[in-house]
Amino acid sequence: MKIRNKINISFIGSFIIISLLIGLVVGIYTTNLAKKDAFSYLHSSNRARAEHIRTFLQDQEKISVILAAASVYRDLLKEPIDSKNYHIIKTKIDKRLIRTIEADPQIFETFILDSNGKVVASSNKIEEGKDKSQDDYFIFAKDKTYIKDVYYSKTTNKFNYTISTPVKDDTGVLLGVSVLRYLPENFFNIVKSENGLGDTEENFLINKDKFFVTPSLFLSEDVILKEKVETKNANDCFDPKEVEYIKDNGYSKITENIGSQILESKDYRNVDVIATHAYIPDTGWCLITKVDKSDLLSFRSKLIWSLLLVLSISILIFILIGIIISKKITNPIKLLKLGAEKIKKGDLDYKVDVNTQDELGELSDVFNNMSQAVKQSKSEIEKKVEEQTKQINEKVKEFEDQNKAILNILEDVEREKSKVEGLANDLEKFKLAVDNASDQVVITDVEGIVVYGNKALERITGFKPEEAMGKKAGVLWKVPMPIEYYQNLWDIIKTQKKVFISEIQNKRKNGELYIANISISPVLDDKNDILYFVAIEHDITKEKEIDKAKTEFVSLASHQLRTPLSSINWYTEMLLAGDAGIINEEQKKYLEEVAIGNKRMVDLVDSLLNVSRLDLGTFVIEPEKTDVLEMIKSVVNELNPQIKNKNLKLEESYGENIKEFEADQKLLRMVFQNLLSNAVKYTGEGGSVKVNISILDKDHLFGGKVLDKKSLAFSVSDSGIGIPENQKDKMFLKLFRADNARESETEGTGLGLYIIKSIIDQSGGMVWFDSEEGKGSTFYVVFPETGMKKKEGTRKLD
Amino acid sequence: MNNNKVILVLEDERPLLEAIRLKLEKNGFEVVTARTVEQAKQYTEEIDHIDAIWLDHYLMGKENGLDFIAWCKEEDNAKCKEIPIFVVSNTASSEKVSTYMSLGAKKYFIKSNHRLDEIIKEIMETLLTKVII
Repeated sequence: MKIRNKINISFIGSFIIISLLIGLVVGIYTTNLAKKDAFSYLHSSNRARAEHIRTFLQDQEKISVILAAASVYRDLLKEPIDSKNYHIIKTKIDKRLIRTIEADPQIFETFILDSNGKVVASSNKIEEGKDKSQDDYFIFAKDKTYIKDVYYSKTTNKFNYTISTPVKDDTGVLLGVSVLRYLPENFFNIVKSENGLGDTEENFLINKDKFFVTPSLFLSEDVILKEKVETKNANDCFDPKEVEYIKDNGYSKITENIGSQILESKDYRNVDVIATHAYIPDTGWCLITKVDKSDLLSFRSKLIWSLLLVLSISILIFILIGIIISKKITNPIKLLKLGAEKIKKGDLDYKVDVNTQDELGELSDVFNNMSQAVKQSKSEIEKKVEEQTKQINEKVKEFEDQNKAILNILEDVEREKSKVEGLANDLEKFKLAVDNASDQVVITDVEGIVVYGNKALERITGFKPEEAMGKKAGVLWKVPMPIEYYQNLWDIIKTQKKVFISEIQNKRKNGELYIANISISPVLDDKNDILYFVAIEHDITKEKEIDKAKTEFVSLASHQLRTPLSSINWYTEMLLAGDAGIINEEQKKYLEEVAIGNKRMVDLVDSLLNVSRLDLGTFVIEPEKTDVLEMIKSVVNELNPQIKNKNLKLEESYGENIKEFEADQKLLRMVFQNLLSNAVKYTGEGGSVKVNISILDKDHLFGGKVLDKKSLAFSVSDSGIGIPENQKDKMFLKLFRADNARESETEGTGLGLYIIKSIIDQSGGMVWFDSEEGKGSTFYVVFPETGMKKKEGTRKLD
Repeated sequence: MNNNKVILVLEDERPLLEAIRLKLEKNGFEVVTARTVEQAKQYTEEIDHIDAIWLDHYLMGKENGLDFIAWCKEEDNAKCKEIPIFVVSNTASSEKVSTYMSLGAKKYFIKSNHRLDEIIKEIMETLLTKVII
């Protein structure tokens, strides 16, 4: 931790602790003080109100006494009712009673009772004559003024209280009673006025039976004389001792001992309150003053907030002061640190610039001296190290030279060793490979004497390699061949020094014949002299058998399929010829359809058979000198009826340089026939067909391809339906027909292009095409100018 | 004795044989039919004069058309070797054709590819030429 932070933290930490302690003490003290203050205020407010109520009541008592003392009251009560004077006095009294009510709005009724309790005069005329002898305000007022507590008057339908005073003659004999009916609303106002102790401050009066006389702040107004207050305050208030004391002394002395008068208790809502009370002796009521404890204590939380505010402002000030002071202290230290780092990196000339006149200033001087001393000793050490390093380097050089020499020798040895090992390894590999090869391998010397035979030798011929060793190759297993065969063989391998390849029939040890492919190669040395011969034989007997079986199957199938077709063909022919009687036009038409259908079937069978031969690879390609032009012309001739029928424009272009060409006539004719008949077939009426053939030189551009040799190039273009773009790659697939071809021409096997592609590929040529759907196609065929490649096989294509 | 040409037809399929016979007779031939090589050999020996032979490859019995032509064209078979033989078969492989031709067949027809009257026309033309010569 940095020094500045340390200083700051200790400053602020101690300040916070001190502030909290002070805050705590002040808080507690202030809270107590405030509480005491509130208690005192509560108490004095209560007493003042109680005094106010008493004064008010005493004033009303005085009024009642004054009224009752009036002579006119006595006159009325003394005068007999039937006298002449009575009426006059009565009128006077009536006026006086009305005036009394008008003078004080709190007096809502006043009346006079005679000594028997009967109403003789009233501000309310209806009351006159009624008997009130049983009422308290009559009974208890016979001797002195009496205040009847608040009650509900049925006659007036109001809460009221009465003050009644006896009317006596000069001798003290009771003449009657004067009664004043008061409304209690005046007390409501006295009780209601606020003192500022808080929102929950409340004053209310209860009567001696502890019922509400004034409304409650928290309950409805309907509490008067209905709800009872059973709190500790209410009970204490009516404690006989206290009542007696107040009757005798008033409130003055009690104020001195406030504590006992204040109660922390629950009020009628069962809420915690601070409360006090005062007994009102005149009516026997009790005035209760209280405030919610929470209201009183809210002051405390306000105090805490303001303390916190002061505290945080002070902390901010302290931080600022801390930063300034710590900077003063740490800046020189930072400079010292920087200096130490510079020196560590090697800058021994660096001087720390601290000029304070204190401990730090001294420290920086010592620091500068020290770095100077280090610089000096360092340069001495460097000099020594340099000398020693030089010596060591010389020694190392010597050692390295020696080492290199040794390594060179070792390397040479290693290289030789691995070379020899590699050779031995290779030899072993080759021997294993040859020993275990599936083909028979025989090595002979120049004279044809066997020097080696592998395992396959025994497997194929039945003779063990040991049996063949030292003998002329082949004597054990050969079937005598014409003498020319052997002459040719030796000529090729010995004289021409080339590889001899042939199919040969041999005989196994058990007398069984087998067919093999044999290849004999001479192995030559640097001077082109023969070292020995290697003969490899591959037994193909099984392949030959399978081949034969396949060929026979095709042959049989072709016969079997064609026989029923011939039947249909010939009988249809006979029917058409009328051999079975004359037929009508319609029958003729139908039979012709049968004949056409049958012809298609025959073509299909022919094509399928060709395909199966192509797939078997059993067909033969036998090139012979052929007049290609004549062949094309004859194919075109055959198609003439259709060309005329469709009114096609035919353009023929034949190169002059075409001589005789080596071709398998049947196959080449098939190619021409197929491509030309397709062109005619898929071109609409009035369209055009172009035939082109010529010999082109190497590097000539033909159908978008550069020819890699001199070639016979043939092309057929048409303005026909063309080939859809997305089907171009499938055109040479077996049984495939383009969608538009199928739609326009129902006839077609989807085999033609497949067959010619096979023929062309296998005879060394190439075929491809350009086409745009709806515009036409051009098919290109090229063969090497040297002719079609010969291919041996078991079958010709038909 | 009439002037009709006699032709020996070797064919194993009865419906085909029937069609061939009918058509040849319509064209004025006198037709002798055989379904085996054995039978055909017998007829060749028994019948005084045969002008032409119509030969199929596959026949009933053990022997086939090749056996017959080989027997017929033998040097010492004086009676048969001069009779022109027309091979009419569905067995169309090229080496079979060349074998028949090398053994002395006059002509080779692939059954399903030719109409009857085409074949008969060729036979008649051949016989006519022979007469002229």
